[in-house]
Amino acid sequence: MTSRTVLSTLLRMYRPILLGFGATLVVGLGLVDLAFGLLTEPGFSLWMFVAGSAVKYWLGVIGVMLVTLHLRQFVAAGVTRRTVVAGGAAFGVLVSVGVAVLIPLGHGLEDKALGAVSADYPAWSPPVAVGEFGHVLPVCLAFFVSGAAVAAGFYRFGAGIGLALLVPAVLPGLLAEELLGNGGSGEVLTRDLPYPGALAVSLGVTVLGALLCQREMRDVAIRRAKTG
Amino acid sequence: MIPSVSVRDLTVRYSATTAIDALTLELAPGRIYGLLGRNGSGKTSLLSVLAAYRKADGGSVLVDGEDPFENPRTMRDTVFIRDTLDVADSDRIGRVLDFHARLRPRWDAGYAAHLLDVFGLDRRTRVSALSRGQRSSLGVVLGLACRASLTLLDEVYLGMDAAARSAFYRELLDDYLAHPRTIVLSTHLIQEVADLFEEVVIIDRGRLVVSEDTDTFRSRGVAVTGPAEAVETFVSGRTVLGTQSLGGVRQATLYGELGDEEERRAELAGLSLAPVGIQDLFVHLTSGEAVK
Repeated sequence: MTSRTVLSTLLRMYRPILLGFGATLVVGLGLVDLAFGLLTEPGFSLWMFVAGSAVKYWLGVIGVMLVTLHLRQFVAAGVTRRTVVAGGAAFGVLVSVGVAVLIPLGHGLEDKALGAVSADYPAWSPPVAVGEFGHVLPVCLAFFVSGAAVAAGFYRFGAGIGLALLVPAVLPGLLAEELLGNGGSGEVLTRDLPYPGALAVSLGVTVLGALLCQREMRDVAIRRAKTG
Repeated sequence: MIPSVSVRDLTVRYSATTAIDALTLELAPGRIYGLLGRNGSGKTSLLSVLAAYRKADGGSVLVDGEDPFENPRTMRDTVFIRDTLDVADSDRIGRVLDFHARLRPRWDAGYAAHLLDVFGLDRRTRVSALSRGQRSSLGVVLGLACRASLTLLDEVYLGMDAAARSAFYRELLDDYLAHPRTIVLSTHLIQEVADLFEEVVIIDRGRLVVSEDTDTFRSRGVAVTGPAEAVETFVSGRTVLGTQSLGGVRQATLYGELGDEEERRAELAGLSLAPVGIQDLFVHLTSGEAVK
């Protein structure tokens, strides 16, 4: 059993959810965006404001699910924790890349449909799209790792120590949001540091969060389901 | 290859509680073991370590000569079904089976479909909609259809009605005969399952009490039946597990094997001797009054 099998199994499990989530974002926000465009002069990018924010939380939820549900499922099917963690990490990276591509693409469609939404907001262009990709990807990775690390702390140690470990666990998400998160109009921003520095700090803390999570999970006891 | 299991001085702790206390045990390959013990005796903890669900706090465990913890080879060929299923409640049964089919190298989809029929389960039903007994039946399907060389079943009958339990025992035995493997069946329904056991393992308060083949274990006790007075005389000075009387006839259940001379004496006194049920012996051995 390899991490590639875990990855392909997770992709298969999440395929309907990923497609549903993506379709809901594109169609739902597309319709709302069009209505906004017809009725008012939008001062911000609804796509970036909603979709750009939603995806990172969704990655956080996947991180939590990986620990609290999928670890138990896979170990019960004869897969080692190590393989689950490796396959789950690959899944998190792949989905993060996917949504980091989806966000600038959606912004491009919005821009085509409505034109530039605000004078303060940059019109879509390939460099802007690359910039959005470069911001969304590390933020999504950080939220994925934070979700998994928070869940791993509580799963392994229970409420007491899990609460104490909450601080290092949420750090990747908080830091990425502070350094590379969206602005009030949905635009991507780089704060406090130049982009290369912000990216390096964010990815570095994310890797530390991933190591924390890996250490918590490598020999964790497989807990019973709450229901039975 | 059917694995043997070797446990040496195994210790499992939960904070201040010791669930398994320096337990040593050998399981030969290709046998059905009945794992018996009172609530909290450490049965589930032992199975959890064998299945690599939990790391031992002390001692060693070898499955087919290797430490099973985080061992891809042994874990792939070991299945552990607990009373609480390790599946997603929101999944449909079909999806649960597909998941295991992808990950279990010897998964038999045809046999899984047969077992669904036997237990009256529908692939389209969500796990959350299953009754307690149906969840147990799904556990049996997962446990048997993966054909793992080491099959650990921990009270998988919970909530099953008599017909479902009977079907489970029949399927377990049939599939074991067709596809031999090492099966450990932890249960409290001792009387009902006793005929399946080839070996009996009893643990109490985390320690091994008995590990031997079922016939040898049964011979640890004897039921003496005959005229009340003759029975009273015969059992005097022995460990009596229980007595029953009907009219002038009495049956006494004794702990301890009888020698040839004693058997002859019983025959001369008009007494009949019969084996004792595993449950009677189990109750005696775990009651705290057992003869060591």
